[in-house]
Amino acid sequence: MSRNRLDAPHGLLIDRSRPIAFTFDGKARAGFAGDTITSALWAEDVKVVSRSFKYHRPRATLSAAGHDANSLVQIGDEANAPADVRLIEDGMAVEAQNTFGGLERDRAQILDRMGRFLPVGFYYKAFYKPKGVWKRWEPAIRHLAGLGKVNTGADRGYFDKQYLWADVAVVGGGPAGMAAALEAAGSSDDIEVVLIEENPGLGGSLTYARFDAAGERAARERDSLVGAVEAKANIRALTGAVCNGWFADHFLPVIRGDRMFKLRARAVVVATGSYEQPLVFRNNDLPGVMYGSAAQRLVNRYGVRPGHRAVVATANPDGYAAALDLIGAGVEVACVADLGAERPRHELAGAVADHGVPIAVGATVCEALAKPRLNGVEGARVARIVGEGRVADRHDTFECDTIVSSIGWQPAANLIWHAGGRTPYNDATAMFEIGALPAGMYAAGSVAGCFPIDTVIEQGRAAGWSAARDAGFARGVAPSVGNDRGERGQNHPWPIFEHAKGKDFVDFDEDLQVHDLDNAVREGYAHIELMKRFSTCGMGPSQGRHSWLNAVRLNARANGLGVNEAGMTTQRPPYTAEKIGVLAGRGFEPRRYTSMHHRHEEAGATMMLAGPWYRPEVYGKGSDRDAAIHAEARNVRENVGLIDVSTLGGLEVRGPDAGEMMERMYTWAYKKQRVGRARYTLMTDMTGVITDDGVACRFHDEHYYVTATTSGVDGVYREMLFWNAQWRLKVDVTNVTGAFSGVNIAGPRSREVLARLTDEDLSAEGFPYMGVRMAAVAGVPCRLLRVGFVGELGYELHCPAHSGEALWDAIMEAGADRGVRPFGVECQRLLRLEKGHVIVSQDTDGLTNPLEAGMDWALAKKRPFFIGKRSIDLQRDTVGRRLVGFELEPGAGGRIPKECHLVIGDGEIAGRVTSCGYSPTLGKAIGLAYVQADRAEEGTVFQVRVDGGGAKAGRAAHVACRVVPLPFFDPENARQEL
Amino acid sequence: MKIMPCPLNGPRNISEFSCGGEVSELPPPDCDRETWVDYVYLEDNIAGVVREWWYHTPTAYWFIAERDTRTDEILKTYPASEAFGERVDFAAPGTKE
Amino acid sequence: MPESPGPADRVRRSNLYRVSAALDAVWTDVNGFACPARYGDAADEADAARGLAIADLTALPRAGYKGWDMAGWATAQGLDLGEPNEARAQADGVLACRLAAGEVLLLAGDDAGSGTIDRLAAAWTVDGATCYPAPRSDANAHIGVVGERAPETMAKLCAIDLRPHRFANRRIAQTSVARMNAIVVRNDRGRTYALDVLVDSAAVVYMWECLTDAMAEYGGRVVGLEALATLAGGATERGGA
Repeated sequence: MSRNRLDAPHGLLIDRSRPIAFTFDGKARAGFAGDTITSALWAEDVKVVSRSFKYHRPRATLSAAGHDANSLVQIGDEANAPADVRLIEDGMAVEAQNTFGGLERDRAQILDRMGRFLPVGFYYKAFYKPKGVWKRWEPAIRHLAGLGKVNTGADRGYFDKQYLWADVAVVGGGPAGMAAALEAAGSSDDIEVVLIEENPGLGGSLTYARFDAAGERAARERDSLVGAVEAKANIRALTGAVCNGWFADHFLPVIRGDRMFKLRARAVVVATGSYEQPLVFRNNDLPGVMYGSAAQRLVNRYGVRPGHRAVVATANPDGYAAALDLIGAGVEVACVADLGAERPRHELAGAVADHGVPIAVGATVCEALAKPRLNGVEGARVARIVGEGRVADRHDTFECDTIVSSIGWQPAANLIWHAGGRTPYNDATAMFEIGALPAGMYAAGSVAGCFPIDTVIEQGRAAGWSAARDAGFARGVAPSVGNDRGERGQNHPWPIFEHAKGKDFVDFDEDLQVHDLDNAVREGYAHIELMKRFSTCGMGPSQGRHSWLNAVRLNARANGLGVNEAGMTTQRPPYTAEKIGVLAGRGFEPRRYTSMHHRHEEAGATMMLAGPWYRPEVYGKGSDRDAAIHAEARNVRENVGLIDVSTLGGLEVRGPDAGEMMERMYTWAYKKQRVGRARYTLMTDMTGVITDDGVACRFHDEHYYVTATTSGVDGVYREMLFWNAQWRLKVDVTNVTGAFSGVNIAGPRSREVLARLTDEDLSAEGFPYMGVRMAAVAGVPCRLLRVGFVGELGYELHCPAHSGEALWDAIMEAGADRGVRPFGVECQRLLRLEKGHVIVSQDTDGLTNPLEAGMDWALAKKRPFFIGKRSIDLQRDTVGRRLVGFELEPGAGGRIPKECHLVIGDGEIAGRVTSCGYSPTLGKAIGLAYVQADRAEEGTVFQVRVDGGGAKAGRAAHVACRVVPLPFFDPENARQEL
Repeated sequence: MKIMPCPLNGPRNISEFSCGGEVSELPPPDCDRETWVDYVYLEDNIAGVVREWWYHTPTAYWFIAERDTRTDEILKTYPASEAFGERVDFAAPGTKE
Repeated sequence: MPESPGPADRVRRSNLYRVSAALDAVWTDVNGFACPARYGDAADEADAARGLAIADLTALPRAGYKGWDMAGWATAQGLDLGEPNEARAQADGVLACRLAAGEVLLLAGDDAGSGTIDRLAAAWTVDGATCYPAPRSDANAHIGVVGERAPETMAKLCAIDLRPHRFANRRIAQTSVARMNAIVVRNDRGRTYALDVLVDSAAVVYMWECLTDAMAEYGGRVVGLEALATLAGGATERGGA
């Protein structure tokens, strides 16, 4: 079946000894190791691999390098794989994309004949009115216009990232890049050079291009450069790797397979080459119309004959080189149409003429003649050019199956653009050229507008030398660069031949023709940025690689401007399509487990995440969650419970100025606090907003141990350090959160249980409420705090983290016969609500000041300063809302408000519920809410809008709530002070 | 990823840091209302060289960076002690009366 | 090293003890902990560790001091203190890792010798203190990441270039590892490249999972304390380093 396969030496990259079997659209296909999907299929005469985006025209490769969307295919679950560059593998199942009923008999091809009903901006115009019409049409249009299929049920892949470091990174492993890497690497044995090449092997244009009539130069340079690079120990060549962007300070994402290397370099050489550009003429998208470089890639890299009879259109020596390669591959070249005004004198043209090929000077291919169903080329019309974009009416028709064009190049300057480099258009060369480059970045080779092989290599050396110097490896003087630009790489200034009947494609991805862009400008989308978005030119998968140069020229002409005045649109990373999986990488989500974590799991706890921490939400799993919470609550109120509070933040504030520091950071008074006592702490920010709370335990005149909330402690620590970086008090603050595990044992029997484990005097006199001690409990050194959140007799024990599990075990064992049971976060929230305790960030928000929260009592009045004091004082007379306790009035019908349900007053939002729940202790629903300050009086009734229960299921209803004094339970605090 | 030269830890990815805003002087607590509101809510936000607080999270280290907001170039960084060498105290209540 | 009772019989337990137990650790008594001495053949483990291995060293003694004149006090106690982010071995094998102008972390050697740590603890008093003890023993867990391929492994988790020619022995990097704050100290065992990685003790299971995953590609193994001691060639040699 390999009808188009050539013999060696054609096919540098394939290994004929290793056949590979794969399928395309279900049919068995064969190729060799090293073949791309495109080359293997082409060898079997399968050229069409997709249907175009809008008109569903058959498409085959244009660039053979993935610079167009023509060759995007589906491989299993992977959509939009580039067939031009993806190597075949055994068993690979490849499918065409964007077809309906098969690639060959695509039912949607009728869209091609409806082209005149699909003008530029069609979707914007057709579905703009009436309102809502787009919603009806969208599914059908998306179905027709889709690219590939995403399997949302696909298995999760493994992707990861790895840092890499280099002194010099060279992007592009062609002659310029290899020369740059060698020069840089030669500066010192210590320099580290990373050379990044997109293709599976090094060589770049040396693997397919022809530089001389004999066709020997490329191989000679390749062997010498590749050999030298491989021999250099300090060059790491990453092949099959794409550098997808440039980020600040030379940070380069380099993707190879399922790994992204994050490469940090000191200097970068961009030797990324250039994209060949299409000649625009009628039917220039037919299968069999391709770039000269595409034909050379097929022949030289893969040993595949592009066709049998070809017409070549060219404006530079590259087209003649391609013609020679075609001839060498046994393709009959029917004609070379040279767009230039004069017959070229270079040796390549001479060699083509020597083969007896007719050369039509000042002429171009102006139309491709299509086979039935547009499935290929039948012939080419060649006509004389009579003006910019115009040809004579008379033309010659050549029978052929292949049309090859080489009319110019566009620098692959993506990384340069990402880095903020400029590439002004040179009217003399009709090319974007490298202008100013950012510090530490150098360009060499065809990306820099340089095509003759000797100059390319010299330029590469110079760039490598400069990059090495910038990386700190200066050596000798910079290599000189000749200024022979030669005739290679010439761009024709206007390779655009509009046809009255259209199908003269500028952008193949988006099926945009010359008149589409003209119309966009005519309709007012004249600016290049507007034209791009309205027409979607350059917005397809190839991101303007093949379309942008011509699009800018057309825009400039339509606006009567020069190309530089028309300007470029901004180019951003990524350079080429990348998988979301690669961006995500392996994913690192730090998780923190308390020392008692496994005990909670063994006890059947439902765990919840609090920031990075796992905490027991409730002990028990499944449906009867409320019952489990209520049982835990009852056990604390009536007996004794144990909760893991290890996630609580902890800070040591120590030094002669510790008291001073405390009084500046917190709102209350701490210098007068007695050693051996705890005190509530409330922190506000400079605007007076509550940011955290906890308790301060004074263990020594110069030592406070301060707790902070789980999520707040890092911020509290940072703030303390921030301020003391300015105040320079004699105080040291240390975050000891992770150093301590903690438990709170609470309930009427807590003293009895704890007494079994310690010699410390636990009597009410010996260790009163708000007392703190250091004591051994079950042989573990603990900080004992007689504090609690739940309003019962209780003790908090903070112990070394590595002893947390042992302490937990000891208490559970000691209290077993007293019915000690663990309780979870939900139970604790309920119990504290019964006591009216505020949870910062649940019952406060980003604007709550202590006055609103009813915490005036915690504000020092006489001190000149604490963080937030001035702002609180300024707001003292303008408190608009207050946090109040409320009970549900009878008649709510079991509808209990939830957190964030709105308080409604006079039909307006007047506040919000922050905490609410059913209290089994009190036998009623209670909560905290913000209400308007003038409606905060005890006994005031207000309305809360709750979910459900309205006339229609799911509709909101109002329930009445009454303001009551806090706390709800044990207002005398008799229980906790036992 | 930008590099921040940390005075303690050397050049590091900027993701290891958080910015603490412009370096500004805390006005005396009894300043007039406008001065206080300006200090709390308003940043100078100039186009040019600014002095900013930066915090290296892994070492809990605050330092000062001078940065040109027009180019995002970090011109220099130094320990906070170079700018804040003296102990700051607030007048005790009653000393003004 | 003699075999000893298991970790669950101790008051002090590394948060990794279940992970080690699941790998059939043979335990040894260190500093009140049961520490994994080996999992299989210690000599095999030492060989493996030349390539790549991780070890739970949480049991080893640690201490820290922090304050505005830490350096003055510690130097007065005879501590050999380097510049910030430099570690210096003391005569008894304790490594003094200076984390900042005013902060030092003390790590015992693999023989758990803690002479310097004990001496400083005995000398410190709160009265007139200019620096304060930091609870390093419990705040941190300690993982050894050992072997030639440790830098590549760490490069998947950490943005610092830890390759031997860029990160000299006894250098310290305080950075983010797998998005957790960590202290990374290069502390070669004999001629084998090694890192001491200290992380929040509550996050050590997460960090261990990240390291286990990252080292799989390079054939890394979990090893015990004995393997590291073998590489170091005994505490006396290290002490003289």
